[in-house]
Amino acid sequence: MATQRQQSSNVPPTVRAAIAENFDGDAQLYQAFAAACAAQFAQDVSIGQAGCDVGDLPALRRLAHNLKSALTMLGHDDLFAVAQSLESQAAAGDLLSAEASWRVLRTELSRWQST
Amino acid sequence: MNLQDRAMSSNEVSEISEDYTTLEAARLLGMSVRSVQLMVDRGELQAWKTPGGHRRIARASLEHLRAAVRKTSPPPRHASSKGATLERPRVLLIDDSIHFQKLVSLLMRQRFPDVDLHIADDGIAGLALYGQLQPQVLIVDILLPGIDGATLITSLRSHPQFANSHLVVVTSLDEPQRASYAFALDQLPVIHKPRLVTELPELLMKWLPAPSVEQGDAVAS
Repeated sequence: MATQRQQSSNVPPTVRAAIAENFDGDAQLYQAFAAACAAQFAQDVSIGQAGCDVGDLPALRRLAHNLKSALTMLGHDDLFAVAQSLESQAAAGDLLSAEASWRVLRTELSRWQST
Repeated sequence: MNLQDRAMSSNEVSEISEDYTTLEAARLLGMSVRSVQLMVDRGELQAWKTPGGHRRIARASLEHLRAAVRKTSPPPRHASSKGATLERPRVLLIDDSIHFQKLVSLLMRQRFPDVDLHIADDGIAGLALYGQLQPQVLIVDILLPGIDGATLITSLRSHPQFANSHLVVVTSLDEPQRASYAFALDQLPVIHKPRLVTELPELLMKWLPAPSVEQGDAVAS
């Protein structure tokens, strides 16, 4: 019981809020989704980097669009904001800004995979 | 693949005489003739015209599309002890986001284990798979590669057979961003993706039949 309370207190408030609001309070479903996302982020990093290397803004826009919802569902509003910026910059054809946003997103997604 | 109709000489016609008529293509894809015509107009299927003005669908183009559909074809259905195939309810998800494909799969497995979920990554495969499966419920994202979701929805709603399916739209777009798709979303339930877990099960419970005793027995055996 004490361990459960300890684990529960280790969960960041944003994640607790995401479980309550986006997963109907179902922590198991949240964890299963988070695990699936972590596995997919490796693919996303490869796709995003390939797009960035050749200046493929439509590819970056699609990727950012898909990441946006996953990140907000997981309770990572800071990364959601980066993905949203990337999506807007790619849509506007602003390659320099899109590259900068992508670098931030790539770092965070790569860190996520290794945790 | 972005070829338009073009007139051909009689020599060329004889070389590719094994191409399909629009009707044959529609039957092979399980779609209406109109949907096939629209796919040709959009350059999603290659076609040409006979000297008499009849449209022919290039065999290679059609086979390519069918191969794409087969990649997403359904797994074998559960069979009863008497060997008869049981008709489990079918839900078709058309969404290119792997994250959301996984989320919907997890949700369906958890809350609707008696339902077969089928997934298409893009609008073209989704349209063809819809014709094959005739699912009870169709879940469509608005922004899709190939045919976008709004065009797909408009095309599906023009089908008489679509009257048998329920459609729900899922999207990451917020309300102002959806304004340009209003023509397609009229009178349809739209779920913002972050609300999917809380809102989708309620709709599915309303639309999908409760599992029968016989189904439950067969699945358990």
